Amino acid sequence: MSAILQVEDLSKVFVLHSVEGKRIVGCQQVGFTVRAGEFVGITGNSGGGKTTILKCLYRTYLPSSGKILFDSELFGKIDLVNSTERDIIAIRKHEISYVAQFLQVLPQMTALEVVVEALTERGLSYEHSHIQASSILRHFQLPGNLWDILPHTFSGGEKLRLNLARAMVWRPRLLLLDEPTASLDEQSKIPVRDMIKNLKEAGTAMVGVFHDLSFMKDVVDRHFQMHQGQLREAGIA
Amino acid sequence: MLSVSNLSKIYGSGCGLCLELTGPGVGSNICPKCHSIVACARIDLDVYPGEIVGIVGESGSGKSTLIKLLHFDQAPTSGYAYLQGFEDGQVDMFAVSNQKKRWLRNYQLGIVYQNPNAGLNMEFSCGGNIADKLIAADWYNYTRIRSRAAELLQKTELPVQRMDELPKRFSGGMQQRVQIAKALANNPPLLLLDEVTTGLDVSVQAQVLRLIRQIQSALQIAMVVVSHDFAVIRMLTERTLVMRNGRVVESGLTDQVMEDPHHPYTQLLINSML
Ligand SMILES: Nc1ncnc2c1ncn2[C@@H]1O[C@H](COP(=O)(O)OP(=O)(O)OP(=O)(O)O)[C@@H](O)[C@H]1O
Ligand SMILES: Nc1ncnc2c1ncn2[C@@H]1O[C@H](COP(=O)(O)OP(=O)(O)O)[C@@H](O)[C@H]1O
Ligand SMILES: [Mg+2]
Ligand SMILES: [Mg+2]
Ligand SMILES: [Zn+2]
Repeated sequence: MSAILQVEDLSKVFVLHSVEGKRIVGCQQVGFTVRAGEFVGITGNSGGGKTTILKCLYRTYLPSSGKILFDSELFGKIDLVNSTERDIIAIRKHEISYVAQFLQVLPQMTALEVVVEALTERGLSYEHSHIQASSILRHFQLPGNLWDILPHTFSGGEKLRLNLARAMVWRPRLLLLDEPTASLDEQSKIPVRDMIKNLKEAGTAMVGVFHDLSFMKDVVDRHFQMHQGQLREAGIA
Repeated sequence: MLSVSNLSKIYGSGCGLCLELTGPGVGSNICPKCHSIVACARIDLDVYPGEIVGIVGESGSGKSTLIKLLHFDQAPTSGYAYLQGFEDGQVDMFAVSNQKKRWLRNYQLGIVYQNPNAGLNMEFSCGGNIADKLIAADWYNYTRIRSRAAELLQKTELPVQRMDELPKRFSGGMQQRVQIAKALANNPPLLLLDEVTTGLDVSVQAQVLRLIRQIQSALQIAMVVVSHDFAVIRMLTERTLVMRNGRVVESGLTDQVMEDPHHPYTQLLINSML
Protein backbone atom coordinates (compact mmCIF):
# COMPACT_ATOMS: atom_id res chain seq x y z
CA MET A 1 0.00 0.00 0.00
CA SER A 2 1.27 3.46 -0.79
CA ALA A 3 2.58 5.82 1.86
CA ILE A 4 0.30 8.50 3.30
CA LEU A 5 3.19 10.17 5.05
CA GLN A 6 6.85 10.12 4.14
CA VAL A 7 9.22 12.01 6.43
CA GLU A 8 12.75 12.60 5.13
CA ASP A 9 15.71 14.10 6.93
CA LEU A 10 13.50 16.21 9.18
CA SER A 11 15.33 18.52 11.59
CA LYS A 12 14.17 21.22 13.94
CA VAL A 13 16.51 23.65 15.63
CA PHE A 14 15.10 26.36 17.90
CA VAL A 15 17.01 29.64 17.89
CA LEU A 16 16.46 31.60 21.11
CA HIS A 17 17.20 35.24 20.40
CA SER A 18 16.78 36.27 24.01
CA VAL A 19 19.69 33.99 24.99
CA GLU A 20 22.23 35.28 22.47
CA GLY A 21 20.86 33.19 19.66
CA LYS A 22 21.31 29.93 21.54
CA ARG A 23 20.42 26.90 19.44
CA ILE A 24 18.42 24.00 20.81
CA VAL A 25 18.05 20.87 18.76
CA GLY A 26 14.51 19.48 18.85
CA CYS A 27 15.00 16.62 16.41
CA GLN A 28 17.61 15.68 13.84
CA GLN A 29 17.46 13.95 10.46
CA VAL A 30 14.34 12.04 11.27
CA GLY A 31 12.96 9.73 8.60
CA PHE A 32 10.05 7.29 8.49
CA THR A 33 7.00 6.33 6.46
CA VAL A 34 3.40 5.66 7.41
CA ARG A 35 0.91 3.84 5.19
CA ALA A 36 -2.87 3.84 5.27
CA GLY A 37 -4.18 1.93 8.28
CA GLU A 38 -0.73 1.74 9.81
CA PHE A 39 0.25 2.80 13.32
CA VAL A 40 3.79 4.05 13.89
CA GLY A 41 4.77 4.25 17.57
CA ILE A 42 7.56 6.45 18.92
CA THR A 43 9.09 6.04 22.37
CA GLY A 44 12.10 7.61 24.05
CA ASN A 45 13.41 9.63 26.94
CA SER A 46 11.84 12.80 28.16
CA GLY A 47 13.15 15.71 26.10
CA GLY A 48 14.18 13.37 23.31
CA GLY A 49 12.24 15.18 20.64
CA LYS A 50 9.07 13.12 20.27
CA THR A 51 6.62 15.99 20.64
CA THR A 52 8.85 18.08 18.38
CA ILE A 53 8.33 15.57 15.57
CA LEU A 54 4.55 15.56 15.97
CA LYS A 55 4.41 19.35 16.12
CA CYS A 56 6.52 19.59 12.96
CA LEU A 57 4.11 17.23 11.20
CA TYR A 58 1.18 19.42 12.26
CA ARG A 59 3.24 22.53 11.37
CA THR A 60 2.88 24.00 14.86
CA TYR A 61 6.65 24.03 14.56
CA LEU A 62 8.17 25.18 11.31
CA PRO A 63 10.79 22.53 10.45
CA SER A 64 14.35 23.81 9.93
CA SER A 65 15.07 21.35 7.13
CA GLY A 66 13.87 18.14 5.55
CA LYS A 67 10.67 17.01 3.89
CA ILE A 68 7.25 15.93 5.08
CA LEU A 69 5.53 14.45 2.05
CA PHE A 70 1.84 14.03 2.66
CA ASP A 71 -0.44 12.25 0.23
CA SER A 72 -3.31 14.70 0.38
CA GLU A 73 -6.78 14.15 -1.01
CA LEU A 74 -7.11 17.90 -1.54
CA PHE A 75 -3.73 18.71 -3.03
CA GLY A 76 -2.12 15.45 -4.13
CA LYS A 77 1.43 14.88 -2.90
CA ILE A 78 2.41 17.94 -0.93
CA ASP A 79 5.45 18.85 1.18
CA LEU A 80 4.07 20.17 4.48
CA VAL A 81 7.40 21.86 5.26
CA ASN A 82 6.83 24.54 2.65
CA SER A 83 3.07 24.48 2.18
CA THR A 84 1.23 27.77 2.52
CA GLU A 85 -0.67 28.62 5.70
CA ARG A 86 -3.91 28.39 3.74
CA ASP A 87 -3.12 24.86 2.58
CA ILE A 88 -2.15 23.80 6.10
CA ILE A 89 -5.42 25.21 7.47
CA ALA A 90 -7.38 23.25 4.84
CA ILE A 91 -5.41 20.07 5.56
CA ARG A 92 -5.97 20.45 9.29
CA LYS A 93 -9.65 20.86 8.64
CA HIS A 94 -10.10 17.89 6.35
CA GLU A 95 -7.20 15.48 6.69
CA ILE A 96 -4.86 15.72 9.68
CA SER A 97 -5.86 15.75 13.32
CA TYR A 98 -3.72 16.11 16.41
CA VAL A 99 -4.21 15.29 20.07
CA ALA A 100 -1.75 17.27 22.18
CA GLN A 101 0.17 15.96 25.17
CA PHE A 102 -1.04 18.88 27.22
CA LEU A 103 -4.62 19.81 26.78
CA GLN A 104 -5.42 22.70 24.50
CA VAL A 105 -7.33 25.74 25.59
CA LEU A 106 -10.86 24.54 25.66
CA PRO A 107 -13.50 26.86 24.32
CA GLN A 108 -16.51 27.92 26.35
CA MET A 109 -18.67 25.07 25.18
CA THR A 110 -20.13 22.01 26.80
CA ALA A 111 -18.38 18.70 26.25
CA LEU A 112 -21.04 17.56 23.81
CA GLU A 113 -20.91 20.85 21.88
CA VAL A 114 -17.14 20.53 21.52
CA VAL A 115 -17.50 17.21 19.72
CA VAL A 116 -20.56 18.31 17.73
CA GLU A 117 -18.64 21.35 16.52
CA ALA A 118 -15.79 19.17 15.26
CA LEU A 119 -18.33 17.68 12.84
CA THR A 120 -20.49 20.70 11.96
CA GLU A 121 -17.42 22.78 11.10
CA ARG A 122 -16.54 20.03 8.65
CA GLY A 123 -19.87 20.37 6.95
CA LEU A 124 -22.01 17.69 8.63
CA SER A 125 -25.60 18.55 9.55
CA TYR A 126 -26.36 19.29 13.18
CA GLU A 127 -28.55 16.20 13.55
CA HIS A 128 -25.95 13.79 12.20
CA SER A 129 -23.21 15.49 14.20
CA HIS A 130 -25.24 15.10 17.35
CA ILE A 131 -25.77 11.40 16.79
CA GLN A 132 -22.12 10.70 16.02
CA ALA A 133 -20.84 12.90 18.85
CA SER A 134 -23.08 11.14 21.37
CA SER A 135 -22.00 7.78 20.12
CA ILE A 136 -18.26 8.50 20.43
CA LEU A 137 -18.64 10.05 23.91
CA ARG A 138 -20.50 6.93 24.95
CA HIS A 139 -17.74 4.84 23.42
CA PHE A 140 -15.11 6.66 25.48
CA GLN A 141 -17.31 6.16 28.56
CA LEU A 142 -17.49 9.83 29.41
CA PRO A 143 -20.16 9.89 32.14
CA GLY A 144 -23.46 11.27 30.81
CA ASN A 145 -23.80 13.89 33.51
CA LEU A 146 -20.64 15.60 32.19
CA TRP A 147 -21.88 16.05 28.63
CA ASP A 148 -23.69 19.32 29.22
CA ILE A 149 -21.13 21.12 31.36
CA LEU A 150 -18.04 23.15 30.47
CA PRO A 151 -14.94 20.93 30.39
CA HIS A 152 -12.60 23.19 32.34
CA THR A 153 -13.58 21.44 35.57
CA PHE A 154 -12.94 17.97 34.10
CA SER A 155 -10.25 15.69 35.50
CA GLY A 156 -7.14 15.11 33.39
CA GLY A 157 -8.44 11.79 32.12
CA GLU A 158 -11.86 13.20 31.26
CA LYS A 159 -10.32 16.08 29.34
CA LEU A 160 -8.08 13.66 27.49
CA ARG A 161 -11.00 11.47 26.47
CA LEU A 162 -12.88 14.53 25.27
CA ASN A 163 -9.90 15.64 23.20
CA LEU A 164 -9.57 12.15 21.74
CA ALA A 165 -13.28 12.14 20.88
CA ARG A 166 -13.02 15.54 19.19
CA ALA A 167 -9.98 14.48 17.14
CA MET A 168 -11.18 11.00 16.19
CA VAL A 169 -14.87 11.58 15.53
CA TRP A 170 -14.35 12.92 12.01
CA ARG A 171 -11.99 10.10 10.96
CA PRO A 172 -8.99 12.03 9.69
CA ARG A 173 -6.65 10.58 7.08
CA LEU A 174 -3.67 11.07 9.40
CA LEU A 175 -3.92 11.21 13.19
CA LEU A 176 -1.12 12.40 15.48
CA LEU A 177 -1.36 11.28 19.10
CA ASP A 178 0.92 12.56 21.87
CA GLU A 179 0.66 10.28 24.92
CA PRO A 180 -2.99 9.38 24.31
CA THR A 181 -3.22 7.22 27.43
CA ALA A 182 -1.06 9.23 29.82
CA SER A 183 -3.72 10.02 32.41
CA LEU A 184 -6.01 7.04 31.94
CA ASP A 185 -6.60 4.02 34.18
CA GLU A 186 -6.46 0.54 32.65
CA GLN A 187 -10.25 0.38 32.26
CA SER A 188 -10.46 3.69 30.36
CA LYS A 189 -7.65 2.63 28.00
CA ILE A 190 -9.75 -0.13 26.49
CA PRO A 191 -12.06 2.15 24.45
CA VAL A 192 -9.02 4.13 23.26
CA ARG A 193 -7.40 0.95 22.01
CA ASP A 194 -10.63 -0.15 20.33
CA MET A 195 -11.12 3.21 18.65
CA ILE A 196 -7.54 3.18 17.34
CA LYS A 197 -8.22 -0.28 15.90
CA ASN A 198 -11.45 0.97 14.30
CA LEU A 199 -9.65 3.86 12.67
CA LYS A 200 -6.90 1.55 11.45
CA GLU A 201 -9.47 -0.62 9.75
CA ALA A 202 -10.99 2.48 8.18
CA GLY A 203 -7.54 3.34 6.75
CA THR A 204 -6.42 6.17 9.02
CA ALA A 205 -2.64 6.45 9.26
CA MET A 206 -1.41 7.18 12.78
CA VAL A 207 1.73 8.36 14.54
CA GLY A 208 1.67 7.99 18.33
CA VAL A 209 4.14 8.97 21.02
CA PHE A 210 4.14 6.77 24.13
CA HIS A 211 5.63 6.11 27.49
CA ASP A 212 3.06 3.37 27.95
CA LEU A 213 4.81 0.47 26.21
CA SER A 214 2.28 -2.21 27.06
CA PHE A 215 -0.55 -0.18 25.53
CA MET A 216 1.51 0.63 22.48
CA LYS A 217 2.31 -3.04 21.79
CA ASP A 218 -1.40 -3.69 21.25
CA VAL A 219 -1.86 -1.18 18.45
CA VAL A 220 1.52 -0.55 16.84
CA ASP A 221 2.74 -1.81 13.47
CA ARG A 222 6.19 -0.32 13.61
CA HIS A 223 8.10 1.02 16.57
CA PHE A 224 10.81 3.69 16.58
CA GLN A 225 12.96 4.91 19.42
CA MET A 226 14.00 8.48 19.87
CA HIS A 227 17.40 9.18 21.30
CA GLN A 228 18.91 12.66 21.56
CA GLY A 229 16.83 13.98 18.72
CA GLN A 230 17.44 10.99 16.43
CA LEU A 231 15.05 8.24 15.49
CA ARG A 232 15.92 4.55 15.18
CA GLU A 233 13.68 1.70 14.18
CA ALA A 234 13.20 -0.64 17.14
CA GLY A 235 12.13 -3.62 15.02
CA ILE A 236 8.80 -4.84 13.72
CA ALA A 237 6.33 -5.28 16.55
CA MET B 1 -11.92 38.62 0.27
CA LEU B 2 -9.82 41.53 1.57
CA SER B 3 -6.37 42.21 0.25
CA VAL B 4 -4.39 45.08 1.74
CA SER B 5 -0.99 46.06 0.47
CA ASN B 6 1.67 48.48 1.48
CA LEU B 7 -0.63 50.36 3.83
CA SER B 8 0.98 53.19 5.84
CA LYS B 9 -0.25 55.85 8.19
CA ILE B 10 1.95 58.70 9.33
CA TYR B 11 0.59 61.11 11.92
CA GLY B 12 2.36 64.42 11.38
CA SER B 13 3.87 66.25 8.44
CA GLY B 14 6.19 63.44 7.33
CA CYS B 15 9.59 64.04 5.76
CA GLY B 16 10.21 61.31 3.24
CA LEU B 17 12.57 59.47 5.57
CA CYS B 18 10.01 58.58 8.25
CA LEU B 19 9.68 54.95 7.17
CA GLU B 20 13.43 54.49 6.85
CA LEU B 21 14.23 56.00 10.25
CA THR B 22 11.62 54.16 12.34
CA GLY B 23 10.59 50.58 13.01
CA PRO B 24 11.44 47.60 15.19
CA GLY B 25 15.09 47.84 14.11
CA VAL B 26 15.47 51.17 15.90
CA GLY B 27 12.72 50.39 18.43
CA SER B 28 10.64 53.49 17.77
CA ASN B 29 7.76 54.73 15.65
CA ILE B 30 8.75 58.41 15.98
CA CYS B 31 10.74 59.87 13.13
CA PRO B 32 13.89 61.46 14.63
CA LYS B 33 13.99 64.02 11.80
CA CYS B 34 10.46 65.39 11.66
CA HIS B 35 8.92 63.89 14.80
CA SER B 36 5.98 62.41 12.91
CA ILE B 37 4.53 59.18 14.25
CA VAL B 38 4.63 56.20 11.96
CA ALA B 39 1.57 54.32 13.26
CA CYS B 40 1.44 51.77 10.42
CA ALA B 41 4.10 51.10 7.81
CA ARG B 42 3.87 48.97 4.68
CA ILE B 43 1.28 46.59 6.07
CA ASP B 44 0.24 43.66 3.88
CA LEU B 45 -2.78 41.68 4.97
CA ASP B 46 -5.01 39.13 3.27
CA VAL B 47 -8.28 37.92 4.73
CA TYR B 48 -10.14 34.98 3.18
CA PRO B 49 -13.90 34.43 3.28
CA GLY B 50 -15.17 33.21 6.65
CA GLU B 51 -11.72 33.40 8.23
CA ILE B 52 -10.70 35.11 11.48
CA VAL B 53 -7.28 36.77 11.37
CA GLY B 54 -5.65 37.92 14.61
CA ILE B 55 -3.45 40.95 15.21
CA VAL B 56 -1.34 41.11 18.36
CA GLY B 57 1.29 43.53 19.59
CA GLU B 58 2.17 45.79 22.45
CA SER B 59 0.36 48.99 23.20
CA GLY B 60 1.12 51.59 20.56
CA SER B 61 2.18 49.10 17.90
CA GLY B 62 -0.46 50.31 15.45
CA LYS B 63 -3.25 47.76 15.78
CA SER B 64 -6.15 50.15 16.30
CA THR B 65 -4.83 52.45 13.60
CA LEU B 66 -4.90 49.59 11.13
CA ILE B 67 -8.53 48.84 12.02
CA LYS B 68 -9.50 52.51 11.73
CA LEU B 69 -7.86 52.78 8.31
CA LEU B 70 -9.87 49.79 7.10
CA HIS B 71 -13.08 51.40 8.37
CA PHE B 72 -12.27 54.79 6.78
CA ASP B 73 -12.17 56.44 10.22
CA GLN B 74 -8.70 57.67 9.28
CA ALA B 75 -7.24 58.23 5.84
CA PRO B 76 -4.09 56.26 5.03
CA THR B 77 -0.89 58.08 4.04
CA SER B 78 -0.38 55.48 1.32
CA GLY B 79 -1.43 51.98 0.37
CA TYR B 80 -4.18 49.98 -1.28
CA ALA B 81 -7.01 47.70 -0.28
CA TYR B 82 -9.32 45.55 -2.38
CA LEU B 83 -12.53 44.08 -1.05
CA GLN B 84 -14.20 41.23 -2.91
CA GLY B 85 -17.67 42.70 -2.38
CA PHE B 86 -16.68 46.00 -4.00
CA GLU B 87 -16.28 46.21 -7.78
CA ASP B 88 -15.26 42.53 -7.76
CA GLY B 89 -12.11 43.36 -5.86
CA GLN B 90 -10.74 45.29 -8.84
CA VAL B 91 -10.84 48.83 -7.44
CA ASP B 92 -8.74 50.20 -4.57
CA MET B 93 -11.23 51.15 -1.87
CA PHE B 94 -9.08 54.01 -0.60
CA ALA B 95 -9.11 55.68 -4.01
CA VAL B 96 -12.87 56.11 -4.43
CA SER B 97 -15.30 58.94 -3.60
CA ASN B 98 -16.55 59.55 -0.07
CA GLN B 99 -19.99 58.47 -1.16
CA LYS B 100 -18.63 55.07 -2.21
CA LYS B 101 -16.65 54.82 1.00
CA ARG B 102 -19.87 55.40 2.93
CA TRP B 103 -21.53 52.65 0.93
CA LEU B 104 -18.64 50.31 1.76
CA ARG B 105 -18.86 51.14 5.44
CA ASN B 106 -22.63 50.73 5.53
CA TYR B 107 -22.93 47.58 3.46
CA GLN B 108 -19.63 45.71 3.65
CA LEU B 109 -18.17 46.44 7.07
CA GLY B 110 -19.04 46.14 10.72
CA ILE B 111 -16.86 47.40 13.54
CA VAL B 112 -16.60 46.97 17.29
CA TYR B 113 -14.42 49.59 18.93
CA GLN B 114 -12.09 49.12 21.87
CA ASN B 115 -14.08 51.80 23.66
CA PRO B 116 -17.90 51.39 23.56
CA ASN B 117 -18.24 55.18 23.69
CA ALA B 118 -16.67 55.32 20.24
CA GLY B 119 -19.06 52.80 18.77
CA LEU B 120 -22.34 53.67 20.47
CA ASN B 121 -24.32 56.81 20.99
CA MET B 122 -24.95 56.56 24.71
CA GLU B 123 -27.87 58.98 24.49
CA PHE B 124 -29.74 56.73 22.04
CA SER B 125 -31.54 53.59 23.09
CA CYS B 126 -29.95 50.30 22.31
CA GLY B 127 -32.53 49.69 19.57
CA GLY B 128 -31.86 53.21 18.29
CA ASN B 129 -28.16 52.46 17.93
CA ILE B 130 -28.93 49.39 15.86
CA ALA B 131 -31.54 51.29 13.83
CA ASP B 132 -28.90 53.91 13.09
CA LYS B 133 -26.79 51.35 11.25
CA LEU B 134 -29.83 49.90 9.47
CA ILE B 135 -31.05 53.31 8.30
CA ALA B 136 -27.58 54.03 6.97
CA ALA B 137 -27.97 50.85 4.94
CA ASP B 138 -31.29 52.11 3.54
CA TRP B 139 -33.77 50.35 5.78
CA TYR B 140 -36.89 52.52 6.02
CA ASN B 141 -39.71 50.41 7.38
CA TYR B 142 -40.11 51.06 11.11
CA THR B 143 -41.64 47.68 11.91
CA ARG B 144 -38.98 45.79 10.01
CA ILE B 145 -36.23 47.78 11.73
CA ARG B 146 -37.73 46.98 15.16
CA SER B 147 -37.99 43.31 14.42
CA ARG B 148 -34.47 43.15 12.98
CA ALA B 149 -33.14 44.93 16.09
CA ALA B 150 -34.98 42.46 18.32
CA GLU B 151 -33.57 39.56 16.33
CA LEU B 152 -30.04 40.94 16.70
CA LEU B 153 -30.42 41.42 20.45
CA GLN B 154 -31.57 37.84 20.69
CA LYS B 155 -28.62 36.67 18.60
CA THR B 156 -26.20 38.51 20.86
CA GLU B 157 -27.94 37.16 23.96
CA LEU B 158 -29.27 40.50 25.19
CA PRO B 159 -32.72 40.79 26.79
CA VAL B 160 -35.04 42.01 24.05
CA GLN B 161 -37.25 43.82 26.54
CA ARG B 162 -34.35 46.18 27.24
CA MET B 163 -34.24 47.39 23.64
CA ASP B 164 -35.51 50.85 24.56
CA GLU B 165 -33.02 51.46 27.37
CA LEU B 166 -29.91 53.59 27.04
CA PRO B 167 -26.73 51.52 26.69
CA LYS B 168 -24.93 53.76 29.19
CA ARG B 169 -26.94 51.96 31.86
CA PHE B 170 -25.62 48.59 30.70
CA SER B 171 -22.58 46.70 31.98
CA GLY B 172 -19.38 46.67 29.90
CA GLY B 173 -20.10 43.19 28.56
CA MET B 174 -23.61 44.20 27.54
CA GLN B 175 -22.33 47.34 25.83
CA GLN B 176 -19.92 45.22 23.81
CA ARG B 177 -22.84 42.99 22.83
CA VAL B 178 -24.82 46.02 21.68
CA GLN B 179 -21.80 47.03 19.59
CA ILE B 180 -21.66 43.53 18.13
CA ALA B 181 -25.41 43.57 17.41
CA LYS B 182 -25.03 46.93 15.68
CA ALA B 183 -22.00 45.73 13.70
CA LEU B 184 -23.91 42.68 12.49
CA ALA B 185 -27.06 44.62 11.58
CA ASN B 186 -26.39 44.88 7.85
CA ASN B 187 -24.95 41.34 7.50
CA PRO B 188 -21.47 42.57 6.59
CA PRO B 189 -19.05 40.06 5.06
CA LEU B 190 -16.22 41.59 7.12
CA LEU B 191 -16.21 42.43 10.82
CA LEU B 192 -13.45 44.46 12.51
CA LEU B 193 -13.07 43.82 16.24
CA ASP B 194 -10.72 45.93 18.35
CA GLU B 195 -10.04 44.51 21.83
CA VAL B 196 -13.63 43.41 22.29
CA THR B 197 -12.96 41.70 25.59
CA THR B 198 -10.54 44.15 27.19
CA GLY B 199 -11.78 45.51 30.48
CA LEU B 200 -14.41 42.81 30.92
CA ASP B 201 -14.16 40.36 33.78
CA VAL B 202 -13.08 36.84 32.93
CA SER B 203 -16.45 35.12 32.83
CA VAL B 204 -18.00 37.90 30.72
CA GLN B 205 -14.96 37.72 28.42
CA ALA B 206 -15.62 34.04 27.94
CA GLN B 207 -19.25 34.67 27.00
CA VAL B 208 -18.32 37.34 24.46
CA LEU B 209 -15.69 35.06 22.92
CA ARG B 210 -18.21 32.28 22.69
CA LEU B 211 -20.63 34.63 20.99
CA ILE B 212 -18.01 35.62 18.42
CA ARG B 213 -17.26 31.98 17.65
CA GLN B 214 -20.95 31.23 17.24
CA ILE B 215 -21.39 34.18 14.89
CA GLN B 216 -18.44 33.11 12.83
CA SER B 217 -19.55 29.52 12.47
CA ALA B 218 -23.22 30.32 11.90
CA LEU B 219 -22.82 33.27 9.52
CA GLN B 220 -19.38 32.62 8.00
CA ILE B 221 -18.41 36.25 8.45
CA ALA B 222 -14.72 37.04 8.03
CA MET B 223 -13.15 38.96 10.91
CA VAL B 224 -10.03 40.84 11.84
CA VAL B 225 -9.57 40.56 15.60
CA VAL B 226 -7.17 42.84 17.45
CA SER B 227 -6.08 41.87 20.93
CA HIS B 228 -3.06 42.06 23.15
CA ASP B 229 -4.30 38.90 24.86
CA PHE B 230 -2.85 35.75 23.33
CA ALA B 231 -5.50 33.55 24.90
CA VAL B 232 -8.16 35.47 22.98
CA ILE B 233 -6.24 35.21 19.72
CA ARG B 234 -5.60 31.52 20.29
CA MET B 235 -9.24 30.79 20.90
CA LEU B 236 -10.54 32.70 17.90
CA THR B 237 -8.03 32.63 15.08
CA GLU B 238 -6.07 30.35 12.79
CA ARG B 239 -3.66 33.00 11.46
CA THR B 240 -2.01 35.85 13.32
CA LEU B 241 0.08 38.93 12.56
CA VAL B 242 2.44 40.35 15.16
CA MET B 243 2.96 44.11 15.08
CA ARG B 244 5.62 46.31 16.56
CA ASN B 245 6.41 49.98 15.98
CA GLY B 246 3.90 50.07 13.14
CA ARG B 247 5.33 47.04 11.31
CA VAL B 248 4.24 43.46 10.92
CA VAL B 249 7.28 41.66 12.32
CA GLU B 250 5.97 38.13 12.00
CA SER B 251 2.91 36.34 10.70
CA GLY B 252 1.82 32.76 10.46
CA LEU B 253 -0.44 30.02 11.77
CA THR B 254 -1.55 31.14 15.22
CA ASP B 255 -0.26 28.07 17.06
CA GLN B 256 3.05 28.36 15.23
CA VAL B 257 3.48 32.05 16.04
CA MET B 258 2.85 31.24 19.70
CA GLU B 259 4.78 28.01 20.09
CA ASP B 260 7.58 28.53 17.59
CA PRO B 261 8.04 32.27 17.16
CA HIS B 262 10.98 33.26 14.97
CA HIS B 263 11.34 37.00 15.31
CA PRO B 264 13.25 38.17 18.43
CA TYR B 265 10.40 40.52 19.31
CA THR B 266 7.74 37.80 19.09
CA GLN B 267 9.89 35.57 21.29
CA LEU B 268 10.14 38.35 23.85
CA LEU B 269 6.41 38.97 23.70
CA ILE B 270 5.59 35.29 24.18
CA ASN B 271 8.13 34.90 26.99
CA SER B 272 6.62 37.84 28.80
CA MET B 273 3.22 36.14 28.67
CA LEU B 274 4.40 32.92 30.30
N1 LIG C 1 9.19 25.48 21.47
C1 LIG C 1 10.39 25.13 21.89
N2 LIG C 1 11.37 26.07 22.06
C2 LIG C 1 12.61 25.74 22.45
N3 LIG C 1 13.00 24.46 22.70
C3 LIG C 1 12.09 23.50 22.54
C4 LIG C 1 10.74 23.76 22.14
N4 LIG C 1 10.04 22.59 22.08
C5 LIG C 1 10.91 21.66 22.41
N5 LIG C 1 12.14 22.19 22.70
C6 LIG C 1 13.34 21.47 23.10
O1 LIG C 1 13.51 20.44 22.15
C7 LIG C 1 13.88 19.27 22.80
C8 LIG C 1 12.84 18.19 22.50
O2 LIG C 1 11.64 18.47 23.23
P1 LIG C 1 10.27 17.67 23.08
O3 LIG C 1 9.22 18.40 23.79
O4 LIG C 1 10.10 17.30 21.67
O5 LIG C 1 10.62 16.36 23.91
P2 LIG C 1 9.73 15.07 24.22
O6 LIG C 1 10.47 14.00 23.65
O7 LIG C 1 8.34 15.22 23.80
O8 LIG C 1 9.81 15.09 25.81
P3 LIG C 1 8.69 14.72 26.95
O9 LIG C 1 8.64 13.28 26.97
O10 LIG C 1 9.28 15.34 28.19
O11 LIG C 1 7.44 15.33 26.51
C9 LIG C 1 14.02 19.59 24.31
O12 LIG C 1 15.39 19.93 24.59
C10 LIG C 1 13.14 20.78 24.48
O13 LIG C 1 13.54 21.54 25.60
N1 LIG D 1 -4.95 60.26 16.06
C1 LIG D 1 -3.66 60.12 16.36
N2 LIG D 1 -2.79 61.15 16.34
C2 LIG D 1 -1.49 60.99 16.63
N3 LIG D 1 -0.93 59.83 16.95
C3 LIG D 1 -1.75 58.78 17.01
C4 LIG D 1 -3.15 58.87 16.73
N4 LIG D 1 -3.70 57.64 16.86
C5 LIG D 1 -2.68 56.82 17.20
N5 LIG D 1 -1.51 57.51 17.30
C6 LIG D 1 -0.19 56.97 17.61
O1 LIG D 1 0.07 55.92 16.69
C7 LIG D 1 0.70 54.86 17.32
C8 LIG D 1 -0.17 53.60 17.15
O2 LIG D 1 -1.36 53.70 17.94
P1 LIG D 1 -2.52 52.65 17.97
O3 LIG D 1 -2.80 52.20 16.60
O4 LIG D 1 -3.64 53.22 18.75
O5 LIG D 1 -1.82 51.51 18.79
P2 LIG D 1 -2.44 50.18 19.47
O6 LIG D 1 -3.85 50.05 19.03
O7 LIG D 1 -1.57 49.11 18.93
O8 LIG D 1 -2.30 50.39 20.92
C9 LIG D 1 0.91 55.30 18.78
O9 LIG D 1 2.22 55.83 18.91
C10 LIG D 1 -0.15 56.36 18.98
O10 LIG D 1 0.21 57.28 20.01
MG1 LIG E 1 6.40 15.30 24.74
MG1 LIG F 1 -5.61 49.78 20.43
ZN1 LIG G 1 10.07 62.02 9.20
